[in-house]
Amino acid sequence: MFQAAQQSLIDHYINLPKQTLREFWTTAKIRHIRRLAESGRANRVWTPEDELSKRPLDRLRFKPINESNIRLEVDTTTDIGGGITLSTPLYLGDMSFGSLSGTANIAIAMAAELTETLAGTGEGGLHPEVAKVRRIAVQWASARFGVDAKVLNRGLAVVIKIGQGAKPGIGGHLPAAKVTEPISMTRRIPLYKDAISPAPHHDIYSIEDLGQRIEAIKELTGKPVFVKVGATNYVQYIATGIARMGGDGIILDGAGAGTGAAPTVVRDNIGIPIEIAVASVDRILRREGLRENFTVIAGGRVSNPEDAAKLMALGADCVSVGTAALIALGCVMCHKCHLGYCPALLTNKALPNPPRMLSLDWAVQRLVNFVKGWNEELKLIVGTLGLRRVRELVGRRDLLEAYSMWEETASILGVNLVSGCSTPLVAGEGGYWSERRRTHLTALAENGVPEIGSMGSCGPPFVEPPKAVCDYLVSDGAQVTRPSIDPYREEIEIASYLSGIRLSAPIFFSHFKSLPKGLVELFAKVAKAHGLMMYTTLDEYDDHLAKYAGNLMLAVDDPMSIPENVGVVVIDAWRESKPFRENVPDKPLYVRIHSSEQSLTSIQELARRGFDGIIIDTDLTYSPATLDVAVMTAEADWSLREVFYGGSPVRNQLNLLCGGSAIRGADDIFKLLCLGADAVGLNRAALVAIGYEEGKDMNLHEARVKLENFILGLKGEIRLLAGAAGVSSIYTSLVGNRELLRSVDLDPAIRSRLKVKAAGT
Amino acid sequence: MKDGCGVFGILRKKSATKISNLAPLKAIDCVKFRGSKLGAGFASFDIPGGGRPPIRVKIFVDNAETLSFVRRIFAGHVKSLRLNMLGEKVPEFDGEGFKVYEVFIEASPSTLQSIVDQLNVRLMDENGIKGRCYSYGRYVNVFKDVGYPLDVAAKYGLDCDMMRSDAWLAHTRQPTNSPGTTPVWSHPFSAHEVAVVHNGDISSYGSNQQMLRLAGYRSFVGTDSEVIAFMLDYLVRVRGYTLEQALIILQNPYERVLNASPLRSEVMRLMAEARGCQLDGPFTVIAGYCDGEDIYLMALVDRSKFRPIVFGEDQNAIYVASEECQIRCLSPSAEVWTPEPGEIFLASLSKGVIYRGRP
Repeated sequence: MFQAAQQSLIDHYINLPKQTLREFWTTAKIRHIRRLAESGRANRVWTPEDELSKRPLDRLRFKPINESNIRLEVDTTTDIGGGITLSTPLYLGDMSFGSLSGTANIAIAMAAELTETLAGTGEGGLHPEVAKVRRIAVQWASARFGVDAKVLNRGLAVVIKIGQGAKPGIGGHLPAAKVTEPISMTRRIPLYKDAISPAPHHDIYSIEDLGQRIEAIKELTGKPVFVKVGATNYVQYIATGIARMGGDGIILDGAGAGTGAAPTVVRDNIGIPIEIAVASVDRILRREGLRENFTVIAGGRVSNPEDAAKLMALGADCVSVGTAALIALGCVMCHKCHLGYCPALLTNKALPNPPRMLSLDWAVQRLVNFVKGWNEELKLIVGTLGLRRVRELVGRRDLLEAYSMWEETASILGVNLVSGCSTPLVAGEGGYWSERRRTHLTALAENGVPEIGSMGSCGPPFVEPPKAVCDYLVSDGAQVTRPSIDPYREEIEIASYLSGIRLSAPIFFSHFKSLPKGLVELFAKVAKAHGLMMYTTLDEYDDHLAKYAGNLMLAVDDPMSIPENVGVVVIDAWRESKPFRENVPDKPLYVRIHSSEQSLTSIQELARRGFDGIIIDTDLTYSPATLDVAVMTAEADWSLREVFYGGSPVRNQLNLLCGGSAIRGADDIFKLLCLGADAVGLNRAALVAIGYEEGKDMNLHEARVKLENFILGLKGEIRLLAGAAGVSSIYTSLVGNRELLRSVDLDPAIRSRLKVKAAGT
Repeated sequence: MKDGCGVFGILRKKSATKISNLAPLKAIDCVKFRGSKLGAGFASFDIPGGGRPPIRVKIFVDNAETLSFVRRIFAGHVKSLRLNMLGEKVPEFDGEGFKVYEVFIEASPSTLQSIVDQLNVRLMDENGIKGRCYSYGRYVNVFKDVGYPLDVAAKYGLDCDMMRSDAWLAHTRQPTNSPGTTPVWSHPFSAHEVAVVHNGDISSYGSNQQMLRLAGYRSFVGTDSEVIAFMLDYLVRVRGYTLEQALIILQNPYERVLNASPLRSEVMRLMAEARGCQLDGPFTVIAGYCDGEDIYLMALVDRSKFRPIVFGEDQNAIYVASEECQIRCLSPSAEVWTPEPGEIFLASLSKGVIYRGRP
């Protein structure tokens, strides 16, 4: 019913655009997939070095092989439970009708049928043509779009979608522009309105609830039920819960997985790499005696058959590919799916009579070839390893070895480390700012809402080079055991309190050096309007700023010169605090320090000197070396908590702030809060966001609009991260909550200073 | 919806007789479908007649070697004259599994805490779990193990009318963030004169555990429920808050609720003073506490009431449960009510219901 009679049918690949920014799906990776899809045959055994990325999976390799053991005949059939046998361990993963525009959905389903694999339908009802196909797994997601008993009874299996790798802890997003008539009808939702699925299933707040749904769906359909989750901090316990509740398998979706639309702050900062999740889930399932008859399907950046083989050796039974399948269909990785103008006609708007359409025959043929070629390459790998059946590869970590990796990461993966460690990070090396960050901040200032992006993350540390310790930290997405809190519909408190002063968000403006007067005043004005604070110095203080005195944290050096009404008085650590105290006994007195090892040694002494707050200013220069703000904040927080006064921890009366040009956005703010900061300051990020350039005049009105948008955007992003982690109050439950963070392949020496656990533990 | 573990609490009224162990068993067994075979337990609170009872310390031990280690620790403290040993119950090691070693002592709270820390830090490390000291109060007595409520009750002889107490807690567990394969993860969790049962999974766990660690708590089994017991103990015993204050701090009300409250400034002060003690995420907590003179039954629900809880009262007892049927099976005509999200419930043996959990 959605097909028109006469269209221009596209039946060829479009040329690959030059990739100007770092990308996981490099042109080399895309070309390899295209070759598979065109030839249907194996192209190689092992991945050439220039195709490897920086993720841990790419620092694993199969050990050298005894050539006399090579098998030519390999059986790749894979039983995934519930009587479903796949010709090769490949699941074509979960892309909805809506995110894709129809033809691609049909092509994927038909290719699964022809190649005897399985296609996940994704959230959001069934395309009528897809519904006719047998080898599909129908998804049951939090919004239940277009789901009824008839729909669930189609296909071979049902997938309960709890989360996905690109956005664990929040629900699916389909931007308004793509909710066209066919989508509106299939999903039974209003036309051209954002379709944002609830963050949790509102009838699944616990493992037992999930157990009841599994039971109910099995009763209704008699089909196997798989549960799809994003790879997060507790994924191993979620997996045991699913196994215990009678699920037939888990679909693990790792960080960096593709998506049709997701807030970029969530996509880039939540979730752990699939290789770590698979290793950890497999280990815990075995320990609990739950691994038998339970299927582990691994997805998220599975880019070639060697990735698949490694993930299987780490413990997966089968891999899921979404992005790779789209690339086989012609995706050129322009990251613009959410707009609905896909140049490859895959993720464009589903319209009843589009002038141009993907040729279904061509698309099916590409995907069938892709699966065949993939299978042939996988056979070569498995055969080369001396195995007769692909099944025998599952859990064979002993066949792998790790290199250029921290011992700790290798041991979490359960793989022997043969050489070297990861490159240690030098804080701030090469500047803190990447092009993507700049673009992101500008987008916030433009729109005032969290930025939406599509396809997999290109963020640090494995694609963009890491520039600060925060780049190695990921946050949690609450799934099943506790519900995430819907940031769009439920209450999330992000206010913070500094010495009794309420901040509407845990944000302040750090010191702006040598900024035009008008702009400084603008920042103060916006701080006041938004209930935030600004940190500045006395020599910038004038009659204009006096209007906003209550929102100022003012650095002074003379106790006699403190203006009235100023919110917080700030002094340098080497000054005698007593005269200041005596002069303004009622004002909070803060001390500013630089981010350095030396400052750390004097933190406890500062607490004993009775300051009300400590500001770590990353812009105060210090030699010999400044310390990464994450390490500084975490250690400062910890040592402050060790000081007690009258039986009560001094930390409870003393605020810890950090800020400066090292802070790059809401992700840094959120992570630093988890590491112990009460509020985080930024200056450079705000200037980047509003497009300030030194020496260039700024329209102050325009700047104000942008700045206010930027603040709103940051608040929105903090809310997203908090809600995804299941935190409803920043002030009471987030500050110092290191448990919500995990480090990915971070230098263990730094990790232990942060007191953050490693991903997978 | 089953939505989580089953919890139950009962407190007798001043005029009524003590409560048989069969009452909490019946009330928790009737929701055993909420749990799994991975843990159940009971806690009794009782003020016996005839003077202050000694401290009863209960420790899981996995074998005779661990047992002798535990006994050596106690003996060491006797020598340093900070502890009186008044008696012990030594288990037989026949077959698999943890056994309970029970010892009666007289010691100051700080000596007791340091023994418990010493024991627990050394009984549990990366090589595994050799045991756990899980109950150490004068008035509280915890019985817990792996299994359904009936299995656990049978193990301790609580499946027949054996023991009468002023108050009881009970729990049947569905593990969410720790394995449930040994009894150390079963509820109730207890510290000094506090015991709690919990249904939920708190997202503030990281802040809470960190606060406790720095307040001197040394050993954690790694579940969020245990830190709730420790925090209640810390707020009341160490920081000297009233139960009502401690409950408000733990419950962590919405700012908008506070803004409308006449107690706003008082509560804001408490929140700041006791940062890190607030709970977030879904929880229903039932707790018991005895100060030697009175016994308290308390309950907390999260801001959104993600987990179920109901209260009940008749002329003999006060009840807190996951489901109404748990109360009805003991008292068909009890008055039953539910709390508002984010409210606290407090009752005592001598005072009856103090906070009803709704305006």
